[in-house]
Amino acid sequence: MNFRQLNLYRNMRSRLQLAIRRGRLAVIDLGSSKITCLILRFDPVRLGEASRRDRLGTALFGAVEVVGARTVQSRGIRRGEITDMDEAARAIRLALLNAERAAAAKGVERVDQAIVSFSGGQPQSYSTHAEVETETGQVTERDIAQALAECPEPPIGAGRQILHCQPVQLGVDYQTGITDPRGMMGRRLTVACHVLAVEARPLANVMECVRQCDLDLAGVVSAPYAAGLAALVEDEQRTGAVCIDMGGGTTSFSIFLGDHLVGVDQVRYGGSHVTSDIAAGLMMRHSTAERIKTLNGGVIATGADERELIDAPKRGEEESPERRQISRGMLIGVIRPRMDEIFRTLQRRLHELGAAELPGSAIVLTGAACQMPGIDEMCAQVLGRRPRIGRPLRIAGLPQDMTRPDHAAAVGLAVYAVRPHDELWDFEMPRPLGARGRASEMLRWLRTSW
Amino acid sequence: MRTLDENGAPVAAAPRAGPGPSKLRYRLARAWAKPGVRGLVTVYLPLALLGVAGWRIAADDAVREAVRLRAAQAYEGLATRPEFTVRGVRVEGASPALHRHIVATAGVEPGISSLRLDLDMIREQVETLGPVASARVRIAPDGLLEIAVGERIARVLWRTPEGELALLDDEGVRIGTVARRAARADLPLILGQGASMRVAEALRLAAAAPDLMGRLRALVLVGERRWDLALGGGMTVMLPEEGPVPALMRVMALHRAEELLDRDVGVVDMRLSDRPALRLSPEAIERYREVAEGGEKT
Repeated sequence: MNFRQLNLYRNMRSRLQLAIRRGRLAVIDLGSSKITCLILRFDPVRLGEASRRDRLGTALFGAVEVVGARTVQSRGIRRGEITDMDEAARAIRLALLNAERAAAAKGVERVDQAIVSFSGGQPQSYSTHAEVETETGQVTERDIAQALAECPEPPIGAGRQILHCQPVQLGVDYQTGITDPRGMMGRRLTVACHVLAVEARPLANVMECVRQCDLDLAGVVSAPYAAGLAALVEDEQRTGAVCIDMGGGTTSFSIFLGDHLVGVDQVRYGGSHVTSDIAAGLMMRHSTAERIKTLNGGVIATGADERELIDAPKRGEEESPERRQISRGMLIGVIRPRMDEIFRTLQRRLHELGAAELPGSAIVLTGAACQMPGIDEMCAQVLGRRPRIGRPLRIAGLPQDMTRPDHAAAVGLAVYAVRPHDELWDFEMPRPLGARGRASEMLRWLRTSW
Repeated sequence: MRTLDENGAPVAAAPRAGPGPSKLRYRLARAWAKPGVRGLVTVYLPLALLGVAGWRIAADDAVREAVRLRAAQAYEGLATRPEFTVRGVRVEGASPALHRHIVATAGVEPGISSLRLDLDMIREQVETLGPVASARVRIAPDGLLEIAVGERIARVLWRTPEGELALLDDEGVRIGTVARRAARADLPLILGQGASMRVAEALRLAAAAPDLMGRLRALVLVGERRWDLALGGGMTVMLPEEGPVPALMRVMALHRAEELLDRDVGVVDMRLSDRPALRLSPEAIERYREVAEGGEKT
């Protein structure tokens, strides 16, 4: 695989390191219906200690604190992609400025680096693997880099770009499931990589939009991946789980196994499409439809729902004295087909990725749309497993109203900032060892050892 | 109604911008969040402006002259207020003769402003006067310059080497002169080189012999070492260098017991304490001889 194309991400990593050294970072979840900005404060000393003590990093979260948080209505973003650059940038600025204002009260003056989520761009997972002979009989970082370089590039297609590329499984000889093979004895090293590719242009638009807000990009994270990081508990990440992030514009899912992300896919429908259905089907204003969906929506109809009447004024009749009333059953009748369609598409996508064969795979629902009553029932009916509603991990300073499932992706970005998984670009590019190469390698060794 | 451009084509209405700061406001707000920028704008920039303005004003001669004039006028107005006028001088603790002297020395004209008086200088000048031991000078609340002095008291007369009669206080400080001895007959007279340095010693001797005060002509310091008491009738009491007071007490004891000094003795020599000696006056010797020879005759 070509390391060279990933210099962009390498720069982002160094900016992330800088932000952590300075102790402040912004994470921005760019959703189709809302933009959430969190200002994080790090305690670099505690962070360093925790990462030495605990390599898996659960103790790391004590070293990070949310000092400012703000959610604003999203504008100029549809299905996770920018449709109006100026409006989107304006919304991001509003969220960031307000969050910074809150953070200033806690002593964080201003942030320059930001991690953003990206939920569009038709993400597609590929897996690729390679096998190399170790140079010395002992696995070194060089060997891992060599193996990664040997991985054949997956056919991601023209105009698409790698967003994540993580070694998910490392094996030495016949052993698999090794967390960190460095220093182990072995002749053969096998590496399996999970590659997530997205459309390059929507991704570039998001980056440009963040740049227009005078922010240095410290990372772009796939939104379902971030949601999974926050909503799945550690055991679920290890034994295998599917996290379904039901957003406004898209419904995406991420599959975790063995502490790693192994698959991401997306259905390009979400909660806002349900609202559009209600507005169109029942001839209502969009805002009315959204309110009725939030207050009275559901997916499983019962007998009682036929008797429960809801104020549902027709378009243009909001102020008239005799407003139309509909039964809740009628509302559910509009919502249900769309949700059913979403879950059936999800089921197909999950099947394509082989998630059904995962050992003991749990299903965790998160995102705003998963708060609709009866959704777990429907999920159980369609996907065959009873889901859990995943609330985001508690990190210090998180406001109470952000502990609901709809902020899982934003919290997941904070988790990612503290403990990023190794990506391809975290490894040094392997150089062919000519005479010059050997000399420079020796110099490097001298420099790093003494 | 839609707006049309000059060709008659409809102009698309600009979409209403949603809430949120413009790029400029956003940049300003974030720049303001930097402590350095905030400090620059709120502290250093105003300070620099003030500094430049102040320098420009101070560099202008006309302005400086006007400021000086205004200040002088203000000072003048303040100084001539009746609250600050000194109406006269009050001297406390001085004899009438000294009073005139002090007033002349202080040289304060009535009506002068108290702001122009240098009280310390007046005090120093008053203290240079001989009879003044110490002085306190203040402006009293009733508008008088009050000079409280501690006067020196003359304790002895001293015949100076130039032949004047000087009045000295107990520290040997010269207060003034008198023309004749009789002017201050109440004071003992001391004579001799360096006697003015040892006034206290002379006074102790004078105090030790109160009976002799009527007869004491002078205390004479001999060779800057020891004292002689010159009594009327050419009688002299020579005292030792060490312990003159006890020696004088012994003489006085002898006088009270034997009326020694009423006898015809010329010199009582106490210089050697274990061997006091008496010297008769020449007439006494004459008479003694006559008596002694006459005795032989008889």
